[in-house]
Amino acid sequence: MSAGLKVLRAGPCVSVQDRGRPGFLRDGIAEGGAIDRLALEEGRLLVGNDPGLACLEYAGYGGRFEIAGAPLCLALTGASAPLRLDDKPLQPRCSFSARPGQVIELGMPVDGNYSYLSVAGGIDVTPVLGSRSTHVRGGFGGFEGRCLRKGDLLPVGKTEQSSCGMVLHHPDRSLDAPIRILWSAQRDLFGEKELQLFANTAFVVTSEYDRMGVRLRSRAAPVCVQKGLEALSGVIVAGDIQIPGNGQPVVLLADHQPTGGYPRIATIIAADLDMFAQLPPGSEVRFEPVTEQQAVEALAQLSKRIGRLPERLQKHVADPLAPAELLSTNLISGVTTGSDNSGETQ
Amino acid sequence: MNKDHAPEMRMVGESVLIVEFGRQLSRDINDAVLAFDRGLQDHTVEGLLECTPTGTSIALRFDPLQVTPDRFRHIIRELVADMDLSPGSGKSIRRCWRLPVLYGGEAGPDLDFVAAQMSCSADEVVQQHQATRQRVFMVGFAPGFLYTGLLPERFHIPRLPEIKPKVPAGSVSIAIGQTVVSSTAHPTGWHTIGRTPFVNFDPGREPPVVIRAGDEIEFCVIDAREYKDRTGQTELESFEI
Repeated sequence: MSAGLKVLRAGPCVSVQDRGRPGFLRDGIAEGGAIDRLALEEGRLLVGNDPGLACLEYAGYGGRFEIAGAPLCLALTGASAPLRLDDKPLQPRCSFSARPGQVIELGMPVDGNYSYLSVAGGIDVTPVLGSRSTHVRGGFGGFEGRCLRKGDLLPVGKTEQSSCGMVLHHPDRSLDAPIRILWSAQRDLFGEKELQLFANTAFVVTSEYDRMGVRLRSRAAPVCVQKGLEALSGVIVAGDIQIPGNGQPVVLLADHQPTGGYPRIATIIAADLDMFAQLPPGSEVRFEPVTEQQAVEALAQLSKRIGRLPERLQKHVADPLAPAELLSTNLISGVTTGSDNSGETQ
Repeated sequence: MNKDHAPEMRMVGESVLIVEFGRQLSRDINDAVLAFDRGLQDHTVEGLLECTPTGTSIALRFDPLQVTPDRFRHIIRELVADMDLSPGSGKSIRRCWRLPVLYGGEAGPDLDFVAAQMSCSADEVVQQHQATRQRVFMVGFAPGFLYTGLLPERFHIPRLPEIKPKVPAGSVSIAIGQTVVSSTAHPTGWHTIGRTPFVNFDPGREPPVVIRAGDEIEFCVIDAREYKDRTGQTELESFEI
């Protein structure tokens, strides 16, 4: 029987995601893909996947998943979240093996919004328009074009190699650094005073967030649009910060509508966007205008960091204080090897 | 496009350059957008990842780690200067599609309101709407969602002050001298005057989006029976323009 993950219980928004679906904006389809792309890459390295394979992304509670068909190698990355294998706690950011019949439970992320469950072989749904990412609003891609439900059986791809028992230590991502922005091409719609106000305001991330966008609020005076508030028909970019009529900003994320919307005051630089999207509700956020050159340098640094991730991958030395974890990491990985061998001879 | 009026170039973030050919939507401005879009397809532009035409502008996404924004802007500026973007210059493989629409009734609940706004009968609205061949200025907002125009002056009626939470897939709605045609159920602030059985976006079909930016549409009246017969049809009559 081929390997799979059976959904025993699913949180409100667990979806299949990969690197996204670039190139279809002219047909009205935004790129989408994993909100936290660094976490996606970390997860795939921990389980030894090739680039581009799909994982599960969730916000809020994740759910309970039963391993079906064959042993699997899995890892949780992104925001830290309680992770259990048959009720035994495991550490995130470590790849571990699990046998058919075992159940993993993904709890609520504690220091961010989005967590990622990667599995060796990847979530093997059929790609749509070149990607396995779920486009929930369009109802396509991923698993039946929707978030997961109890009873779903997710196919997992075949894999020769699996690098179970690896660890990636947490990168130094600071959650309280200012988020860097470039002023928008529509900055003329705002006065210089409003731009200053925006840069000097401490905003708070609200609990109104999803893959399309995040609403912010501020205790200070709202930022006002000086000129007409009518919808503008330009192309939208992930990271764009829109100012609707009430003056409370909305930051657009991966599943943003491709065009239109409210006037945009600024765009979060690409290097900081994923970090921003991980700020939990209640976090204070300040925006720091930077130059185009600084934005490109920051992106180059991030790209270099992602490129060097494999060097930071280490064999996991289990914490002696967590014997349960030691047991599942070491013993089960032996089982995986055995099964892989027998699979090859068939 | 007059060469004395170089398009305006503006950045969105560090990796999207907007080239705007005019502020006011018109066929001439859109001709320049389409000609430039076509022209770019004939060139290999360093770092260019994706071009998205809209009514008055084109958004160019590029990789700033491959080509600096300064250099990219320079390359694009040179290309604009070298290309003939005057109306009618762009050779194209555009098509005109005959899109069937069931007007009024349950399919077009706002037809009477629109007629009242335009001080004419519902029949006249339909007659005029389908008499005008419309250009697809942009596919945006949602997969396969079309913005077409321009309609005669009397169709310049404002959008609704409040958004209707949901209109069905295939809705044909008008406002501000334009028509929008949806492929999925969606919220709208436009006035829905009819519905087409043709679904412009189907991820399981090749190509997934049939009517694209730069194409043109002749809307044609069908009745309820024809609507039923044509539901689920994937073929759409068209000719080259």
